[in-house]
Amino acid sequence: MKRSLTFICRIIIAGIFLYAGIGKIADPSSFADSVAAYRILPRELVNAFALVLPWTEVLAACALFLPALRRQGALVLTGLCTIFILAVISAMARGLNIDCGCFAKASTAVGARVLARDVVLLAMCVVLMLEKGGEVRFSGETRGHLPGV
Amino acid sequence: MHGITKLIPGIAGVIATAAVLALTVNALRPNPLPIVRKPQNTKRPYINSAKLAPKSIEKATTVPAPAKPKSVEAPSVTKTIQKKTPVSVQKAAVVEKSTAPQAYFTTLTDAKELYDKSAATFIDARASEDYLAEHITGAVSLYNQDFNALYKDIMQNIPKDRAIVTYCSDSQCTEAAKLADALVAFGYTHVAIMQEGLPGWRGAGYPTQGTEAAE
Repeated sequence: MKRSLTFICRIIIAGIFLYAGIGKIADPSSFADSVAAYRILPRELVNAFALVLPWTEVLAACALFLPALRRQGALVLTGLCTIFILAVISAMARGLNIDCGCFAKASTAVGARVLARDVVLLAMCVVLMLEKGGEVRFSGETRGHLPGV
Repeated sequence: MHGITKLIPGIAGVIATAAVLALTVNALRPNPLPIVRKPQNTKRPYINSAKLAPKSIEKATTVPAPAKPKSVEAPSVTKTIQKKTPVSVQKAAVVEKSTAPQAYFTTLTDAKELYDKSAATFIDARASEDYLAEHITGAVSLYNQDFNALYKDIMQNIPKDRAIVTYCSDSQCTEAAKLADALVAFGYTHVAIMQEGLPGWRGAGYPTQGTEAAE
C-alpha cells in the first residue's frame, strides 16, 4: 500500500513538475515577468532565477526516477514547493492581484486555489522525501530495487 | 541529520546542472533573456488622453486640455499648443526636435477616457492563452514574443496616427513596453502603455471579457 502511494505520488509530482518546467523553459520571458510581479526578488536576480528554476524543476522531476538521486530530487522539489507557498502567501498578504506563473502561459490568479494546490504538492513531495532512501532492503543486504516498479 | 548531509552533494549537483543547462540553452536562443533584468524605463514621460488622441478628443469636447509647458509633448499636440500659447510652443518645439518618436506611459483614468470615446485601440501584449482567459473588452491580441509573425495581420487596418494603448499583466511586466516600442519603431506615433495592466483595469471595475472573466 505504501509502495503504491509513493509510486503514485512520484508519477504525479514528476508529471506536474516536468509539464511546468518545460512550459517555462519554452517561454522564459513570460515567466520572468511572472517572477517580477511577485516583487520579492531584487530586479537583478529575477531573470537568472526565472532561467534556472524551470531546469531545476525538470531535473529534480527526472531525478525521482533515478535510485541514486531519488531523495535528492524529492528534497529539491520539497524546497521548491515551500518557496512557492511562501511566495503565494506573501503575494496574498500584500493584496497583489497577479498571475501565479505556475504553468507558463496558463493564467491562474494567485489565491487560495493556488495555495491549496501547492500545499497538496508539498505533502506529496514530503511523502517522497521520507521514503526510505529510495532503496529497499529485502534481506538487510540487498539494495537497488525500486519500490512500486 | 547525517542522512541529510549525505544528500547535499546530490542536491548541489542537481541545481548546478540546472544552472549550466539554463545558461547554455538561453545563450543558444535567437533572443536570449538578459541574465540581469534591465530596469523599466521609468523616465518614460506620461501622456494624457487629450494628447494621445487629439483628434477624437477635440471632436468630443469643446474645451481643449490645458497645455503643460514643461512636459514632453506628442508631435501633433505641439501644433495645437502653438496657436494658443506661443511661449510654451518654443519650449515644446525644442523638446520635439531633440526627441525621437517614443511610446509614453498613460494612466488608467486616461486610458478609460479613450476607451469610452472609442478613441484608441487597446492591444493586449500577453500570451494568447492569457488573452483568451481574460482581456479588456474589445482589445486585440498581439503577443510581443510573436510580434514579427502577427504584426501584419493585426495592425494592417490600424492607421499609424491612431491612438494605441498597450497593456500586460501589471506594472512589473515588460511585454507592453516592448510592444509599444516596437509599434513606434514601425511608425505608430501615438502609443502609450497602461502600466496598471489588466489587474488594474479589472480592479477598477472596467469591462473585461474572456473565458475566465467575471460576469
